[in-house]
Amino acid sequence: MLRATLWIAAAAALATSAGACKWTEFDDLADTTWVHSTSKPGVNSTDYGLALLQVQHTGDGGKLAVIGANEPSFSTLVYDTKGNTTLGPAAVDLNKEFTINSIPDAPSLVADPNSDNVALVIPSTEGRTVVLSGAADALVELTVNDAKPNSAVFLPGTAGAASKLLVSGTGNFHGIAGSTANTCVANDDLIAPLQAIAMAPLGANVLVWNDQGKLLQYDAAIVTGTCDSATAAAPIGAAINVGFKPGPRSKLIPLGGSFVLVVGVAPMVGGDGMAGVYDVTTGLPAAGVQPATYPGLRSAAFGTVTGTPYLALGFPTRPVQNVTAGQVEVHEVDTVAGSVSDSISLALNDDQPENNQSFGQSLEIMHFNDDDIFVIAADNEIFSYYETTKYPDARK
Amino acid sequence: MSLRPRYILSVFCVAACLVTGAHTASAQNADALKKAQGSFDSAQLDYLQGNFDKAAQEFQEAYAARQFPQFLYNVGASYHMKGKKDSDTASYEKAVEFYKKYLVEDPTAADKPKVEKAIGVLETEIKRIHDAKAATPLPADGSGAGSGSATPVAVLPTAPSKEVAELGDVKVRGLIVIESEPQNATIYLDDRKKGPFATTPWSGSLEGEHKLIIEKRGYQVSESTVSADPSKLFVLRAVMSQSTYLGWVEVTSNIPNSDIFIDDKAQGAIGRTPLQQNIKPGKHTFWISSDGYDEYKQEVEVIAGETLSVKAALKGSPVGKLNVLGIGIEDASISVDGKVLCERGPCLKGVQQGDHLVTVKRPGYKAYTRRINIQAKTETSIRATLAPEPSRSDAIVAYVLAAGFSGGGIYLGLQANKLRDDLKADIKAGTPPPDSNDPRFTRGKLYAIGADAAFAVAGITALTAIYYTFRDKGSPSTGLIDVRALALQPEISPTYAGLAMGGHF
Repeated sequence: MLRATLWIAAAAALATSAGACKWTEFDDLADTTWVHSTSKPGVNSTDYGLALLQVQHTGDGGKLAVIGANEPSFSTLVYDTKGNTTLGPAAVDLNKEFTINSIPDAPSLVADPNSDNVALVIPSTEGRTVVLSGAADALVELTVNDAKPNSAVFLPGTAGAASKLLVSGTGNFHGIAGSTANTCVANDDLIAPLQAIAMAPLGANVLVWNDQGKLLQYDAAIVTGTCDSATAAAPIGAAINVGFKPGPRSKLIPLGGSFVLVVGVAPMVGGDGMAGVYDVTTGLPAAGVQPATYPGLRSAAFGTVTGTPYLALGFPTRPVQNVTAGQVEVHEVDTVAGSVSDSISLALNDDQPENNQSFGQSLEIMHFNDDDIFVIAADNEIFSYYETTKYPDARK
Repeated sequence: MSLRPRYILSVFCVAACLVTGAHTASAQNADALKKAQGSFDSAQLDYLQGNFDKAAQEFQEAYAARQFPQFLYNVGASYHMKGKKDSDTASYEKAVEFYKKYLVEDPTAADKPKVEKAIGVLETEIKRIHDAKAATPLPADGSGAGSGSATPVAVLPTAPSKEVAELGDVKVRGLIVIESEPQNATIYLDDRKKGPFATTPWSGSLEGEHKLIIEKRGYQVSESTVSADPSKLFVLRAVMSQSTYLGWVEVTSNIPNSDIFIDDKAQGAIGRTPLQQNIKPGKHTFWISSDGYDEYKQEVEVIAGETLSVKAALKGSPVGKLNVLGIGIEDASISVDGKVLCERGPCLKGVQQGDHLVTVKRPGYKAYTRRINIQAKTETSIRATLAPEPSRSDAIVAYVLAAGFSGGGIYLGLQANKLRDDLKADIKAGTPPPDSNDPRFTRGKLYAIGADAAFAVAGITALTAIYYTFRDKGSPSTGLIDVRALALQPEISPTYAGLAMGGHF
């Protein structure tokens, strides 16, 4: 009888083991997906992913700076070479550190192309704006003599010199190098105090997109400190009227030569956005291609992925599969002819979209290993596209 | 036409010539027996009418015709009753004489003690009567009572003594006479398995109804049924026809009373050793077996008209008796060392000496198993008390639960596999690719974990069910063991001698 019992027990055990499921198979499968999703790590913000910025331009893995609103936070996501993410070591509670209770809109978040330094211009609901800068894991507040700074840009130094941070306020430029800040008064083409919404280095000059929808160039002297506070700096050359009044998330992206990629985000949520390439020499859209209108555009990023320049546009309120989940369009950019392709190279959205997911509320083309990948923020979730139909697996 | 009629006629002629001489003697025997039977019937009638002298005379005539000892007894009985009736010493003396002749003729008579007692009582009675006569003075004229003399005269005893009276009235005995033609045939009573009863001619008493089987080599078997009146002379005469087409087999073994099987064991034993009987010519297989001994097997070819001897030398080890008893044992099977000893109890059988595993099984009851050492010449009794098997409802519930969990596990496993396959397909297609936080990963993982957990619980539950199935719940079956010695005693019969085992308790 004992033998029979043992046989039956063995058969039952065998049947059980044969029928067993390997739940780790799902973990393995999750690691092979083209998209890695990172839920909000250990930060208190309830609107994590308001803004994204890559903060590592070389080396293996990658690093992403992430701004969270509602209990504002600044933190980094550190990517290992396999694409696994961990919360960076210096997550900053902006309220605790800098008394920023909440962030009403996207901050101006810029990266130094020559280093891993970043700068943030963060407005608050209390009317206070804080400028932070430094290495991503060691930000310090800069003292800027301005009532309300609203944009910033890193201007690369010449002959290997360190970049300088240029912060604009209402009618002012503040050139910051180290602990030294040099303020210049600036007017627009109508001799009114300049209100710069977006800035970009353009050769030795600075290209500004002001609140009136014009592209204005200023001499780099506004940074180097040759101006004085009594004389307002005037734009160089003729203003280029883009005809689109940009919101805080708008971007000016130099493509080389006289071509500038102009991406406009409406100041109000739900407004139409635009994107196009302008030739700042002629003051006209490059190649005669008028900028395209993108309803619901709220974020944009430019980068070169496997040798192809792409413009990624985020539409966080776009319906997908009958729910307002959000989507990102990726358009190829012809930097030689100066145009943004009308056709969509990639349409990225959550495989299982959810209502109010805000997919694409911010996005970035981030350095990862030796490649560049799309990184897209949704509500409290970061999607990293290691592989798409346009490029192979970047985790190798 | 075949030659068969001519062949049969030829055989008849030869047989007739061969038996002519024997037939004459046989006819004389038959006449004598007929005469004895006539005298016996007359004598019995006279006996019943109280004509004892005449009855005695006719019993003597019957004896003169056929010398059956019972006739002598009946002569003695007739004189016994005559003497008792008249207190006649001469009759008593004749009674004693014929009783003694009877015992001489049949020294192994079953009633020998009784007859000897009667002889003693009668001899005392004769002496008592003689003594009384000697003490009584006879009258001068030699007359007796009624002479008118005044001399006192002693009274001779006219009533039998108390001892004679206690013997009661003697009854003449009937007799069964079995004869065969030819004589010296083996008589079996009721069944061959009981062994030979006697050989013809035979006379004696039998009570009740019996089947008689009379068999002789070279002759066909005669079977008949007798129900003899104990007060009559019953004569059975079997005229056996020759059977030249049969063979004759004599089966003996070193172990008396061994069972004999021929050709087909399923038919059961045809008798016990020693055995002699006719058998059809041809090939036959004999098995001879006895408890505690290895079976003996022999294949033989029987030739018509010839005698074949089968001598079985049984080998084996000493045996003891195993006796299994108990309430409800009639529904239980008894096995020894895994082999069924008795399909049903009670079971009393010989078992070889040594250690044996005895198992008593009854449907619906727990089996009783016990290792027992059987000793030679002993009887080991087991009074088994079997406990009812416990309910297995808990095991059934566990099996149902195991099946339920197993079914749940299968369902969850299938769901997990479906999600896995869907995800693989979606990952491969990549439009749009599922992300690492796709809820299907978690759901599939939960399904897989749930499936494994269900399988594990099902396995544990199944093992529990198996345990519940086989666990020994409740009180066990028990047995009360008793060992008693058996005595060996010699047993002798007209055809064999050996040892028989019997219990003395």
